[in-house]
Amino acid sequence: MLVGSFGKTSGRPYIEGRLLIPRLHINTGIWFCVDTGSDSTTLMPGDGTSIGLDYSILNETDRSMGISGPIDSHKERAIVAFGEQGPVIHGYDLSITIISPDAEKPGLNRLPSLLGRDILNRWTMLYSPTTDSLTFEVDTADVTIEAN
Amino acid sequence: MERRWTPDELRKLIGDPQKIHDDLQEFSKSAELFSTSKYHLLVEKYPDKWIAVYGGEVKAHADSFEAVLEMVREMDLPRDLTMIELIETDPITMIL
Repeated sequence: MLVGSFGKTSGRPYIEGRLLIPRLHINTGIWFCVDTGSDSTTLMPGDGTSIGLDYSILNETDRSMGISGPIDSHKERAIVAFGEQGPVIHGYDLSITIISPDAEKPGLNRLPSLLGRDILNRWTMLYSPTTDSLTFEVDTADVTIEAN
Repeated sequence: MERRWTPDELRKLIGDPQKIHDDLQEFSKSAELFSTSKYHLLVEKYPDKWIAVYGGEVKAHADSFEAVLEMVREMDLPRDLTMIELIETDPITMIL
């Protein structure tokens, strides 16, 4: 079972994951906001900039649609990994969306990276803010590795 | 459409599972500071500041994202295990 938490004042649901983008030699922790409304797991500009991502070498620009309309984005082949007691690591092979920074929109840095339905559809989630419980049963993964 | 990685390829790309697990545990220590039950402590101490957290401790704070990122660089904190977040006293409503 994976364990998440409710964060900040608003109590948004979060879970820690490890994002690997082999082509870019990225291997980093990300505090994902759990977002059943997001089609794709998404790296936001604040996290991308924090980890030193070089946006100039990303795959060709794509467009994604957010609440403020279309926005420049990129798709990159990635692995997102999560850990549970054991320890056991569950890994997912997917194409993540990376939102480009925009100097005219510094507020983008405040947005959390999103864990989308490309991964959530493979879990069963228990979401209970009233009991401070956010857990996930892994139904499927692309790879599951036991450490020992 | 790219070919999907096989489980063996994924194992190689992920590397040592114990290291991934340990890194996730380390990162979780920092994330815990932002849990709803503890967040008020950060709001009291760092209102409307950007903070950098590593190893479950606040290592730097500044008025802007860029300034705290520069401090993280100067302190040579491991970027893959450091969280940078704004501590909002008047949080905006996010529609994600």
